[in-house]
Amino acid sequence: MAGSLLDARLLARLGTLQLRTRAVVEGLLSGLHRSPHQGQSVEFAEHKEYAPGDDLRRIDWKAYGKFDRFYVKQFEHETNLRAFLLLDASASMGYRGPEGLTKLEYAATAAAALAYLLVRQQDAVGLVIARGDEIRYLPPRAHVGHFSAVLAMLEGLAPGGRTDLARAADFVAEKARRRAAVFLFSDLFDFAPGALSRIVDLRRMKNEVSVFHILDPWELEFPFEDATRFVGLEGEGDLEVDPREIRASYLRAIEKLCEDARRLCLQADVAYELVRTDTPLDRLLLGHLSRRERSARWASR
Amino acid sequence: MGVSLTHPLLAWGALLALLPILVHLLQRRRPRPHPFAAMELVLRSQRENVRRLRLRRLLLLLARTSILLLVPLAAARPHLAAEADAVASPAGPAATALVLDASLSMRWGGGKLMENARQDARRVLADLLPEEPLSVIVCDGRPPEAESPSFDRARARRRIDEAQASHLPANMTSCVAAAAAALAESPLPAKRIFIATDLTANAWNLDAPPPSVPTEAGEVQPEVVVLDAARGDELPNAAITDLRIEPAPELGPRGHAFAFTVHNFGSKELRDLRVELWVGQEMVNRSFLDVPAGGSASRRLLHRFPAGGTFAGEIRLAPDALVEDDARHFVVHVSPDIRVLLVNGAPSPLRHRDEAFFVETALRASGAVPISVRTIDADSLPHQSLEDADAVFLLNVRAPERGVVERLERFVRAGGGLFFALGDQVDADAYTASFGELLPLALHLPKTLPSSAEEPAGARFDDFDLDHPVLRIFHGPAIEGLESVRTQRYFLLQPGEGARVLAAFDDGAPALVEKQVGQGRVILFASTADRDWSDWAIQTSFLPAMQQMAAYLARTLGQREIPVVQLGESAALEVPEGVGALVAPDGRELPLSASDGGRVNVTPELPGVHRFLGEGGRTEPAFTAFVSPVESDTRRLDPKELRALLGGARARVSEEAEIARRRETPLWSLLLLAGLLAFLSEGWLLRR
Repeated sequence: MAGSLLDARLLARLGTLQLRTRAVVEGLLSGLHRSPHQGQSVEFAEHKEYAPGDDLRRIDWKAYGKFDRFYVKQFEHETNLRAFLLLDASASMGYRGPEGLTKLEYAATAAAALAYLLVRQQDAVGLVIARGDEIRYLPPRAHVGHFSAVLAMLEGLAPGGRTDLARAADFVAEKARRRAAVFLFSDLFDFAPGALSRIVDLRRMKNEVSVFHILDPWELEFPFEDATRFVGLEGEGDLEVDPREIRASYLRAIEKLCEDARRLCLQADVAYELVRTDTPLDRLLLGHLSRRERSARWASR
Repeated sequence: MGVSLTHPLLAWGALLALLPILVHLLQRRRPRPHPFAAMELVLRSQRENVRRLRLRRLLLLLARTSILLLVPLAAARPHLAAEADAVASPAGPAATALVLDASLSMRWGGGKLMENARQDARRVLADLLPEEPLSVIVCDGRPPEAESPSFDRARARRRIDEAQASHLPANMTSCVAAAAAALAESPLPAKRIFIATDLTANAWNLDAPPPSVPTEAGEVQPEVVVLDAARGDELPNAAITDLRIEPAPELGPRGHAFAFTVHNFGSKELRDLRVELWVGQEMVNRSFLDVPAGGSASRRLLHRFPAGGTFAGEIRLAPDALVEDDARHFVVHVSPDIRVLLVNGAPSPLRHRDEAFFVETALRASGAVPISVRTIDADSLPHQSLEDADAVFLLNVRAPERGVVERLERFVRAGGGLFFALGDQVDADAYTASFGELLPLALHLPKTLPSSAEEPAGARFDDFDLDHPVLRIFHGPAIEGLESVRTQRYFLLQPGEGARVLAAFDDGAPALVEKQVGQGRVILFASTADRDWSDWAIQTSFLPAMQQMAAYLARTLGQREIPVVQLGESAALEVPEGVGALVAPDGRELPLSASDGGRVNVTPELPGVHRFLGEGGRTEPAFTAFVSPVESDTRRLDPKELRALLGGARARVSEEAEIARRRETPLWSLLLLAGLLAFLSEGWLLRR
């Protein structure tokens, strides 16, 4: 696996989300597993020209007879997953340390790659972008062309507004009328009481919920040395301080934030993943998918 | 009680304490802004730590300011002047003199006393107020150099640091008087003298009045503080205080006795004290002494030198705390063997009538100087070689042939000695004609004194030249041995020049005359050497006189004696020709400029053998010097007695403990400690 090529710093050099997503996905393909829902529905959807890797059993021999070209049949899998990619695009997600991607860029790339993988295995993917008071929504679709719509919505996304997880959770709960998978990409910097609980509540509505807690390494390590004037990204004001004086206290606070989130998620059977933006994306997604596959097998027994 | 600074200029360094405050103020520029997502957590951390951080910053500023404030202040060496110091300056700053005892006794303990005294002196220097001038007088036995009190602390410190205990005796009374005189040159009304000494009693003149400083307002009695370098301890010491070297005939030829006296100046008896006699690099004899406390013991160590020559050596005691007086150096001349040829002009089978009997018996008698005697008849003289003789005695010998006389003359001119004793075989005219210049004075006629029944006839010896080496031994009562001689018949001598009359008869006629001929010496006795004309041969003075005569004629007598000089005293030296310098025992060369007829006054400063340095680097012993027994006497004065001597209530004697008590609050060290704590605290706070 070309992990080094998927390093966040290298991805940051790729100008567009599309390129980044392609790099991530190509790295992922060799380790990808089949959808656990494959073959459970037979409603024909469309033909697709054969490409290496397609299942030979699905080649439409009649079409071959007519057109002298290989086509494979594609079906709408009614029982397949409906997934909501919930992306926190608040202003705090626009932060990045001295190098690499912003948290939002990292989250968008991860979401796009995940969308591709889901679409590729005929899962329906919807996109919810929470940007302060504004919520952008793309309903779930399972056909391959839908991926372009997802990509278009993510491309050039600018951070803004305050983090409001409750509002986003309510929105998703409203849209996901039946069982769905919800993938949240956020830094969880919403200190309103019970904000994360609202996300977790989605699980109680029979949804599969995964929380990708995305933080920049500088937020986790607080490596500042010189006196610094910190300026809040979401209107918290500014503060002039010697970082060395508060480092220990800050590190305890960030650790507590992560630990609280982890504990809350575990208690509600929500998958929780603390993600540093310098973590290679393929490793992140592969890890998550393999864990998800294991848990699905376990549930099917 | 007040605070004073030893180095007030350094206190200006305390202004450095402003630096942290200035840095704090100047560094209040706004730091670069950094947009940050987890601002809420930063704010929480700030709120959580605000009190602690404020306190930490305050403590840091305090620590840094303290470091920069305390270290320069400590370098200025502040200290509290306690009330006990009031004796030092009751009326403000005082002109101060510091007398540093650097006499021989301060070498006790291998220099421990001197180091204590230097330390005390440095403390005095450190305690001086900035406005107090100081004069340092090093009392080392040389004339004291008392400079005007000055503020040149560096020079004073240098004088103290360079002061070394000498080998000389010092008169502390005169040094203190010199210090008092120096204080008169300061306009400050208060006067003060510090004396760093070992309190040995002999260094003080107990009859002298207390020191006083002449001022315009009259005599001022200075405050006197005596700093006891011995810290109140006793200073036991044993020393060789006397040494006499004399021939020891009982030991045989070249035997010498070294009689010495050892004094014990301590309060405990010394038992089995080892004493060694060293000649050159060899220990030749030793003994053990018991010396009572405060008393002395004498002993003789004997040694027979194997050959003649000049020998240097020393008497050594087992070393004690003051080693300088545990050895006494000496230089001794040991005469070589003397070969004497006796020419008997009137032999007789009866020994007591033989012309040479008495002379031969006298010379053969065992003495300090071994003499080998060979006796021949006058007839054998022409055939006798003179090369193996140092002196020839012609005893009542007829005038010999010319050839014999020529040989005798060559013998004498080459350095040999010739003795004439006359008698009935001597013809005055023939003698004068034959011997000519060899005779000290020409013979005239024999004179015979008349005798009576009541009183035996005889002329007495009179008018002795007791400075002459031959007769020098007859100083004092021994002169009776010469005065009792009676001579009935003797030759009158003709007047002449170049002769020295050693003794004359009571009628004024020369009895014993000497003349220098070439390198040799000739002595003539105007009568007989047996009992024919004189009874000298049976008098007690005859034997030593003959032995002295033989030694003198053989040029082993009358050698320059090596003077012995006590350190602290001067000696007039006869400087041999060609000598331009003196080599001290430590190898230093001291130039000599002889004056007053080749004599020069020297004042040695080191014990041991000093040597003349001649042409070509040749050396010969000049004198030996020994340390003054006054300095060996390390018995100490009672502090009360010394206080009374130095002015009673205005004087005090201080020991180390008392000095230390004065410094119980050395502020500078406390400040330094506080600065160190501030430094450590700053490091600890930075890591918090």
